[in-house]
Amino acid sequence: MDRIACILVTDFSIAALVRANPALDGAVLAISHSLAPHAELVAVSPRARTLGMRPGMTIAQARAISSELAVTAHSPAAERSAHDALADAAESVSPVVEPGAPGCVWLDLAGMERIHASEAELASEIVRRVRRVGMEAAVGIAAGKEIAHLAARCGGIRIIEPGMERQFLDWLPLDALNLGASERGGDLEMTLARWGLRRLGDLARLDPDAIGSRLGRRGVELVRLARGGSPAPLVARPHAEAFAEAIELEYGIDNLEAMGFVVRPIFERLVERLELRGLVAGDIMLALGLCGHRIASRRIAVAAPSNDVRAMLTLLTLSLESNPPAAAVESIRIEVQPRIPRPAQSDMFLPPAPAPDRLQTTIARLAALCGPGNVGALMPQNSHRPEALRLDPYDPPPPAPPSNGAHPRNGAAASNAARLVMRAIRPAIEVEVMCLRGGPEFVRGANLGARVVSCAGPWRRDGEWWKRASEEARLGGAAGFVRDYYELALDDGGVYRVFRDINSDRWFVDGVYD
Amino acid sequence: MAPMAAAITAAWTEPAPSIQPVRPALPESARKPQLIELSGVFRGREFTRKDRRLTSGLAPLDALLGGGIARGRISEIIGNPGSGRTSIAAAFAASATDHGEAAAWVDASGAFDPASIAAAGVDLGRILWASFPRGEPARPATREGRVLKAAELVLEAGGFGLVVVDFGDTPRAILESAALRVARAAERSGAAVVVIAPRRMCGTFAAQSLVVHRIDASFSRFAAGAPVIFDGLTLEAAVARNKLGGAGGRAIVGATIDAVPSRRGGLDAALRAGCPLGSNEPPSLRRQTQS
Repeated sequence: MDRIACILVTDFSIAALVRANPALDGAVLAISHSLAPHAELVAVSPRARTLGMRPGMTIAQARAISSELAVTAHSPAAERSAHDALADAAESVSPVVEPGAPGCVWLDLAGMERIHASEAELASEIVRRVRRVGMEAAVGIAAGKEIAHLAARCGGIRIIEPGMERQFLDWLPLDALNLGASERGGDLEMTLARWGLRRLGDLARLDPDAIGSRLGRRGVELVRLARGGSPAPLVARPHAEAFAEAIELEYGIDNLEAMGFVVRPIFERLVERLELRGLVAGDIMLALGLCGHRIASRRIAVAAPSNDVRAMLTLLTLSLESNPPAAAVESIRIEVQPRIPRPAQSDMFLPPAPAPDRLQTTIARLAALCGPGNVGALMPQNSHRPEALRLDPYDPPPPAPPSNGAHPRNGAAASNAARLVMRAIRPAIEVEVMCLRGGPEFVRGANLGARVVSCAGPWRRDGEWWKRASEEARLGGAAGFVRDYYELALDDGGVYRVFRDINSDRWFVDGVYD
Repeated sequence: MAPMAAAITAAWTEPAPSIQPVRPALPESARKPQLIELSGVFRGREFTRKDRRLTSGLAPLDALLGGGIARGRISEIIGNPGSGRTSIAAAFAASATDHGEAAAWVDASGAFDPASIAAAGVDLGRILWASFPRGEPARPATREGRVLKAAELVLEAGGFGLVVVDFGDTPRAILESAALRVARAAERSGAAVVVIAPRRMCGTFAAQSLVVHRIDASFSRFAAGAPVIFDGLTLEAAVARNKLGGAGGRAIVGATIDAVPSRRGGLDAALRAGCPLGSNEPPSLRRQTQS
């Protein structure tokens, strides 16, 4: 038999605002479409409700009850983020999730009995995970979507055992349906009360046709619901490919320090959602809403995916420092690409290796310190150009086990000579080389001026011949490269690698042997 | 849990004979066999440490340093540009990656040349390279401070056997506090830290300081009339400071441009003839002319 859970966040618009701004938790808060005194309240916080405020009151009426009332507008961005977070929390429990109206998510519990001892334990776990993403939810579990939804509307955790659906529906007070929320629903609520109907079971005994002629389609739906509803199947949503959080600011921000205060909680909420799903954050897409209704977007590459909030914040700060927005920021949307963290298993008898999660975090921090294009595994590229390089992501192979249980270097004969390496000079520095008697005699350039003591070369190296006949070459651009390389020992004590570019007849030094 | 954690932490850093039993509440009859088994487990990590030294693979240099550079400590390789200091650092990196260890190379000036470093036997796939863009940093922190910060980040990550910090050719002085933080991070992680610089940078926080200078550059020919070929350098390494042993020793090390023995005629002759270790005047460079 199907078992479906419904996660319901009451006063969802208020909950979304509080989730985006935890300082509002416990405040006397209301949402209205306007700030005019005669504007009606659309939603009120639990604290405001306990003081007697209700949706439909005017702001003036509500302020008469409490002067601490804070009225704010709807935040569609915050509600969208909160709804996605709710779906993520549900998806961390079950792979089959159907988002419903804002603040409502259904999930299929098939197979969950193998993981959780009871449905009560499962429901408690769902509540805990929703709390991790910043909201409080009620959970209803039943054999169908509509009954599970009605169970959740009762508040807390309510489990309708198989076969008890009829009994539950008969018992359910009509108040729990919140029929008065809409204008027409208010009329319906009064009508049913005038007829003396208090529970949903009372409606089940009435004739649907008669109800339809008196109450319209809404009445027919209520009767159908009272008789068990329709067994609508769960329509699962595709797995989320991106995780996004957005907020709208009350006033524009134009300094980085304030941005940091605002952005950090966004990253924390994103990381919480990713960790629920066992994922880590990859590249960051930042969209800033600027004054004047402009949008500034940028992509921040992350060298190593991680859930380190500090590293992500540093990367974002560096990006904003290097390319600040053109105007004050009024809204922020951050989207991260989810990545699967790299698993690894270490060995007690092998050399230690960096732990994958710590390595990812370290690389992210290094990238924040050095810049994303300056951290990784630097490799020579397969090219005739000596200066051709590529930067690969750093992903060291696991330590290899020593052969025959012995240390890999045991018995290896040490040598007397090292391999001479070169210190690259990037970019190559142009120099003047005076040639006499067919070879270089003196080299002069920035921070360099010495006589040639010994000379090896020239060694011709050329490449990219296909560019010689290209349009770019005809227009005076690069026509491949043809170079004569020399190794020159100068009387300043260094041995330099110098080359002469045949195409331009210019000399460069690109390395010193050290 | 805390006392057990403390006991395990102590077992990782102290020599094998002083390893404390993990579960002192065991009955006497069961204690001895379990102790042997557990101490073997903890000593497994020690097996990879080779007496906590990292060798270079160069016999004269390892003999001079008492077996290699110390792990968990800062070792400096000091020399002017062209003195061979980078080649010696690459030898240690080759040894570390040959052991299967991960290593890092913090490159202040972007001088890391992967082609020649790989030819020196370094497994580039195990080297985490971090460099800094040209130009002054936007923040007040100096480039040298950021270089040390990068080294500290790598050491704190753990799991690296070697961290090379290349300050470049014209570094400014560093703060003692920064050097101290790196020294502590090295001690905690157990990684060997090699600092390449034209002068001593880490002061008292460096356990070993090796001063390198070039004695000779070898240019030779295969035969009369053949093109001149650059063979390599002859280097002299002297221990200027050694907290773990004697200072003042010297050694001659060759650094060849390739491994073909027949082309190292000039260099081999220099190595066989040796160099007057007490001399202050390096031999003049040979002049080779192309006919």
